[in-house]
Order: sequence, then C-alpha cells, then structure tokens
Amino acid sequence: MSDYIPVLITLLLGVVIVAAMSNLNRLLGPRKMTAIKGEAFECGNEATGPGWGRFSIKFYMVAILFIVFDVEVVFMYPWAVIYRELGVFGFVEMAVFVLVLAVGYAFAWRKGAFEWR
Amino acid sequence: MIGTVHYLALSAVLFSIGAVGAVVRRNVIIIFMSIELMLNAANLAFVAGSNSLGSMNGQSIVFFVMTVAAAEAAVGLAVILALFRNRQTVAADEIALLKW
Amino acid sequence: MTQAINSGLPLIVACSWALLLIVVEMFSGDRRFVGVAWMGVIGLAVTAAMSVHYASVPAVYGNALALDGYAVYFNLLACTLGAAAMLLSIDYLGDAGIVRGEYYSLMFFAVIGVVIMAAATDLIVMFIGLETMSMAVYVLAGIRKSDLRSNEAALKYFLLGALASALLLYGVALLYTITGSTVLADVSKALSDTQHAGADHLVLLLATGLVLIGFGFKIAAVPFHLWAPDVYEGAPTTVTAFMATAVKAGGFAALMRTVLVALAPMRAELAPVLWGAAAVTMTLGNVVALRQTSLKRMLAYSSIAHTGYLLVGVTAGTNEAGSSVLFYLAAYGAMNIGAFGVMAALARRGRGCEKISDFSGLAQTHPAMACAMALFMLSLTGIPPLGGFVGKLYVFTAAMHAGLVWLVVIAALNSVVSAAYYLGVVRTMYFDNAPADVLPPARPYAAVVVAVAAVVTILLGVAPSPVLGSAARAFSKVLLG
Repeated sequence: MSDYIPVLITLLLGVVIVAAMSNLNRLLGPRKMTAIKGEAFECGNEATGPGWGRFSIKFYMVAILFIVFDVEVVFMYPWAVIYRELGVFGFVEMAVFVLVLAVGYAFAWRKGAFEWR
Repeated sequence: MIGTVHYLALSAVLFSIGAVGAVVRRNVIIIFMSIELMLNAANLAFVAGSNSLGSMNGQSIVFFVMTVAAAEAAVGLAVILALFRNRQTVAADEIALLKW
Repeated sequence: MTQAINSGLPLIVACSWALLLIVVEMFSGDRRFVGVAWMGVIGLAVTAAMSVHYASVPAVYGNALALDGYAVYFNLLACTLGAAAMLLSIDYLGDAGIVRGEYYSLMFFAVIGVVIMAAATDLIVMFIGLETMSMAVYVLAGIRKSDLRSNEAALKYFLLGALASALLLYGVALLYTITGSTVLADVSKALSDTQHAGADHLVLLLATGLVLIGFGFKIAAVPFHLWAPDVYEGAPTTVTAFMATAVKAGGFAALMRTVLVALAPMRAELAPVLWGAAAVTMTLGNVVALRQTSLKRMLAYSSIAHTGYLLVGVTAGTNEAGSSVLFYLAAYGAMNIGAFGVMAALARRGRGCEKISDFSGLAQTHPAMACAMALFMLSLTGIPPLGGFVGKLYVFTAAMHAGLVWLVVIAALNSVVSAAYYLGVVRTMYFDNAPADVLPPARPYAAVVVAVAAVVTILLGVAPSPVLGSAARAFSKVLLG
C-alpha cells in the first residue's frame, strides 16, 4: 500500500496546482468587462457564424466509405500473424476476401462516391 | 482482484447506458451511437466470457460483431444522410410523416 | 472436408452470384434492368436447386451451419418469394422513379440472409444471417431516395432494427458467458445439464428475454410491432411484399430453431411468455386492422395478426406444430405476395393504389385482378378450401393437441374478427362503383406473378399434402432428443 503514497501525493499536488492556477486569476486580477472581452474566443480570429456549425454533408460520404473499408482490416491482422501456418489455403481465402472488397470498391467508384460534390 | 464478474458488470452498465440513450435521446445520430454502445457492451461480455472460459471463440466472435457494427454504421449514416438531404433535420420527433 | 464444402456450396454460389449481379448492374446500359432482374431470378433458382441437391443432415464448420431439411425448406421458400418479388419489381421500379440496378443484388443478399438464418445452428452465424438480411432490407426500404416517406420508413426500420439486433446480441453474449458456447445444441445441453440457481438463473432469464425481444422485433410481435405499419406503408410496394413474406419467414426460421432447440430446457419459463405474445399479437393486429383505410397499412396489421397465429404454433412447440408453422409460412407467403402483387400491378406514379377506396369497382374494370385479390383476402381470412384455411387448421389442430385450448379459442375468435376487414376489401371491389378515372391496366410481369400466387394459394388449399409432407420431413430432425 505504501508504494502508492507517492502517487497519491502527485495526484493531490496536481489537483491543488490546477485549482490554484485557475482561481488565482480571479482573486488577483482586475476585472474590467468590455465588449471585445465578451466575445467568443476563436484562436484570435474574429468570431463569425453561429456557435453550432454544421459540417458539409460531403464529409459523411467520406466517413461512410472509410468505415466500410477500414474495418475489414481487422480480419487481416490475425490472418497475417498466422499466415505461414495457413499456407496456400489462407492465401486463397484472403484473395477471395480482397476480391469481394474490390467489387465493393469498384461499385463505389463507378457510382461516383469518390467525387467531391 | 478484478474478475469476470467485474467485466460483466461493466458491460451491463455500458449496455444500460446505451439502452437508455437509445430510448430517451431525440437526435437520430445520438440514438444510433447509443445502439453502437450496446453492441460494444456485448463485445465486452464476449471477451470476458472468452477469458473466463479459456476459449478463443468469444474473441473471434468480436471480430464479426465489429464488422457487422461497421456495416450497420455505414448503412445507418447513408439512411440518415438521405433523410437529411430531404428534410434538413435529424430530430426523431420531427420525422413523423408516417405516424408512429 | 468434402461434406463441408458441399453443404456450403449453395451459399458460396449464391454470394458469388449476388456479387456478379453488382458487376453486371454497374455496366448495364438498360435503365429498366430487365436483364439484371432475370439474372437474379435465375440465380435464386440455381441456389434453390443446389440446396436440394446438396442437402445433408449433419452440421458442418464446427457445428455452425447445417443444410438439413429445415434449411432446404426455407431456402426454397425464400428463393421463391425473392424471385416473385424481383419479377414484381421489373416494371414497378421504373415507374416509381427508382433507377437503381443494385435493387436486385440487395434483394438477392436479403434472400441469402434468410437462407443463412435458416441453416444456422450457431447463434452467431444466425446473427450474421439476420444482419445480412436486415441491412439489405433497410436500404431497400429507403431505395426511393427522393421520397420522404421512403426515407422515413428506412430510418425507422433501421433504428428499431439496429436496436433489436443489439438486444439480441447482448442476449447471445450472456448465453455464451453462462453456457460457454453459441452452438444451439451445446447451449441446450449446457442448460439442461446444470441447474442454474440464484443470480445465474436471473442472468439466464435476462438473456432469454433479450433474445426473444430481438426476434420479436424482426417478426413484428406485439409489443415490438410499432415499426411494421410505418415501414410497410413507406417502403416501395414490391419491397413491402418481400418484407411481409420472406423477411418474416427468416425471422420465424431463426426464432423456431433458437426457442425450440437452444432454449428447449427453458420451456417452462418460456411457454407463458410465448402464449401471451401470441394472444396479444393476433388480437391487437386484428383490432387495429379494422380501422385502416390504407390497404398497405391494413395488410401490415394483418401481417402482425398472422405473426400471432404463427406464434401459436411456436408456443405449442411439438413436431406437428413446427411442421404446420412451416406450411403456414408457405401459404402466407403465396397469398401475401399475391395481395401486394395486385397493388404493385395497378400502381402508377402519381396515381396511388394504396387506399382501400382506390379499389372500388375493381371487379368491373379489372375482373381478373379483382378475382385474384378476393381470393387472397378470403385465403387470409381462412376460408376453405384455400391455402390460408389449411394452414390455420393445421396450426390450430397441433396447438389443440399440445393442450393450448384457450389460445386456439382466442385465435379462432380473431379469425372471425379479421373476416370483417378482409371481406370489406372484397365488398369495395365488387359492390362499390368504379371512380371516373379508372386504374390503368395491370402490368404483364406482375399479372403473371399474381396468377401464379393465386394458383398456389388454391393448390395449397385443395391438395396440401405434398407441401405438408415436405414440411413434416423438414421439421422432423430439428427438435433434439
């Protein structure tokens, strides 16, 4: 249990320092509210547009394609690990799998899913 | 010591959060995220079971569930996208052309 | 090894065929996709023929899949219904503004999903079949991308379907942690060998409940039926025809194997739940159907009511009841494909053919279509000598033999109530006057499908023994012990 005492101390110090830093300003600093200060902070740029911005619908198209083709890789990791043990059979199986994916890829391509519009 | 029961309890908690989210939230994308959370709770239960039973089956099942979840996400996003293009909304209670 | 390949061959060929369909569709110049549709129909025929040829009882791939009689029966049923829906779609799609060749490959994949669900002897394989089917149907329901009702139907079906899948999967995961397996026979053995008491028993009940809820959504059993009327109404009519028949058959294929094989040791706990679900489902379906003015919605509630009748058979759970459920699904498929087929045959863009009033005076303008529709309505009511009657008779008789007297009484009363709305359609067609703007002539492909469905409905009523015999043989090896 005593092993954890340094961890506990670090944790406490962390909490205290963060709490102090974020509240010292409120205690010591002068408070003058101006119009500029009341604006939303947007990395130094002038804030424009509504706070709840929407992403263009085009990004969803990319997301959909990404999800589909990304997750298929989970089948490739275990396959790659025992590739030598599987031999030719494993190679043919993965080739078939990739072929199926390729049909899907060709379909997406042909239907214009990769075009940015 | 953290044992199988703890993992299962965590998965039950995740599942409940997902189930409640799916029922009470109104943004369809968040409803969908809640459902994905439920699927992942099932994944956790499979891995925990696989670990305690000493069999690999549960872990390989997870691969299939992940793929199914991804396919579901793709189809779901596409369906939501098609609706959004026509309606400009993702709030479930505004989508009531056909009465529930 | 050879047997493993042989049992899997029909599925492998079906999947390759569906992929080929995508490739052909990509380069097809024909905007009506007649060739693609016919290729799909031929592929389904090949799949069905191969499954008959390679049928064998033992399960393969580590007890995950069995091309036994049960699987072959559902394979034939799903392929026939899928082919009928594809033929119905040929002229319907172009007119409805759906210029999408992938429609046919999606429908093919949905049929493959049904086949996997029926052949699966492992809960996870069953889950994958269910998802294959569902995901294809989610897209099919929303395939009319610019139509708001189609969008909405797809969204509702998707959200509730995904929720149901998640519940089902969690139930399977819990069953796995309790029994250590997802193979149906092993789950059953583990459940009957060990007494689960206390917390374990509670978890077991929870798992069983989740699995039941998951399937309940898919077959639209009350109280998980809310999606059905909306989705049936919003989806294109040909897709609705497919959903009401093939998808429901798939749901029952999986439900029966799960409940009667894997969860057989839980029979005592399950029986009252199934009893209640059957009674409530058919009553609610019929009562709400009485008030519908849209034929599509009415048929949706009617399909909920029929889920209730089919659940009567599942509740009985004997060999006799199981085989009569299989027969009922075939008869139900024929008459429902027919009824939706009439709607698809007469529908034209901008000229809806979905309200019951649209059919007034149909007997004067389209005597053949009206006659076929009347036949399907009478069969759905359960009037002899049609397929629907024989199906109901056998399911209810089997339930009587299993001692479910009160449930059969409720079911019989329900059949009487249902006569009111089914015969209402017949009355509208025969005794109301036709409106000034008569419906257009029936489409040729759809007319053929409707004619075949009518003949099958009559044949199943007049000479049920061949199908009944094969249903009995198909079910005979399903139950354990």
